[in-house]
Amino acid sequence: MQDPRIRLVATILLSAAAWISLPGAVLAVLWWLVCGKARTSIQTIRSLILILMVPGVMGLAAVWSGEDGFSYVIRISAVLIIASWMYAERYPGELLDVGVWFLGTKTGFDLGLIGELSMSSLDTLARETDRISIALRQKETLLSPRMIPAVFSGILIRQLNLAQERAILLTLRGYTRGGMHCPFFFSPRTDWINGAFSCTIFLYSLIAGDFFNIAGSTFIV
Amino acid sequence: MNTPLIRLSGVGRKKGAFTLHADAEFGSGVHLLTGRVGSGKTTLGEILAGIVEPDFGTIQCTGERRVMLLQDTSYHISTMTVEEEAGSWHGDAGNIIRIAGLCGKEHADLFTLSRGEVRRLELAAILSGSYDLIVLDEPWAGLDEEARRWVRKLIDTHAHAIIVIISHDITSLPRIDQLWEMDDGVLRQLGPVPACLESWTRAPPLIRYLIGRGEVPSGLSREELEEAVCRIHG
Repeated sequence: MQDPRIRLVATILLSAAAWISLPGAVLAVLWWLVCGKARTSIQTIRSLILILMVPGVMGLAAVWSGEDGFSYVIRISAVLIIASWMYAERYPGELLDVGVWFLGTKTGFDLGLIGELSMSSLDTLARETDRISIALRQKETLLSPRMIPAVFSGILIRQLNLAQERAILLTLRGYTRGGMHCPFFFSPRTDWINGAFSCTIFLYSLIAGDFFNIAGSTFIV
Repeated sequence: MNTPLIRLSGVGRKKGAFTLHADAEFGSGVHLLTGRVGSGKTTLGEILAGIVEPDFGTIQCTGERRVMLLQDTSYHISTMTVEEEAGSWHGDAGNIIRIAGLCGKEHADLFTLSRGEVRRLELAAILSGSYDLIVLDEPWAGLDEEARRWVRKLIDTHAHAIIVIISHDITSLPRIDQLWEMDDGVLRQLGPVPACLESWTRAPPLIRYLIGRGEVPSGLSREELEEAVCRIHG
């Protein structure tokens, strides 16, 4: 999906649909398979297991306490899949584009800039984690809890240095608040169709999840 | 003729419009890999070190391979003090600290050391270890002239391994056996040093100047370049 505005709306709608009801979660995953072309930022089975570990434990706890843990795991997994799709589809600068388009060159620019810097930091963190893991393997050192302070101190110091460099760059360029930016979007017809499907799934999930059924009175006739 | 230990056959990696191609044999000795910024030197170093998988082609290695890659960031640090870090390399910690010139700083916090000191500690641990392939990506970064001289000496005593140095800086090199150039993603073997120097079309200005004055240096090490410069000035 090339238009980040439609992608953002689709992500919100599909995540909400997955969270509201189990049928919504299943349909969101189907949407991801068909419309999202099963794209994901999760590259390895190990990453998948790590990501699903927390909802898995929460689901087991829910089952143990007599709640519907199975439904919880499916719904959260669907939300994570949609999030991974959005992360995999993004391109540098899109948050700035959307921010300026939506909220203008002051607040929108600032929010977009914060978003871009945050996403870039996430990329750096992922790359650093990968590199540290390789470096320790080459050093023939097994990762142990004792290493956590040293490894995390290194990451933190490098992130702070990066933040400082960026702050200096922004200051040198005269940034105080807001800025000029002319967003350009490419919106093929398939993006609109896929976006419309996500709306439909959201609406269906509301109905399937009894969202409008309050105190026995259904608001949809 | 060096015994080939790593053979790259039709190795390539694509990244957007950029494609890296490499057909090469790396034997024991010191190899210098040069090339313009963005020509694919670091990617090739990562492929050699096994960090990045090539998209196509094969890499053959003779025997068991112990590989080490040093990049500009100290990703190897896994402890808090100099002594602990030296010990974490599975070698003689005291020897590593001595080689790195950090005696008296054994209990110092690694994060209070200068970048050059941390780099020296890493290089001492790497070059005193028994690695078969060592890839040093811009190893002089953050080092002063004294430390650069120290690294040169350390590399000169370590020629039994395959050492690949990726660097733009030709004024701090140790003795180089083979010269390689990345040209817009294509790896070219220029040949053994100093025989290849005269045909090095993209040689740095200092080498071009020396050759232009009829003084082909006997090698690319700092001392050999100084000697060639001295010959010009009598």
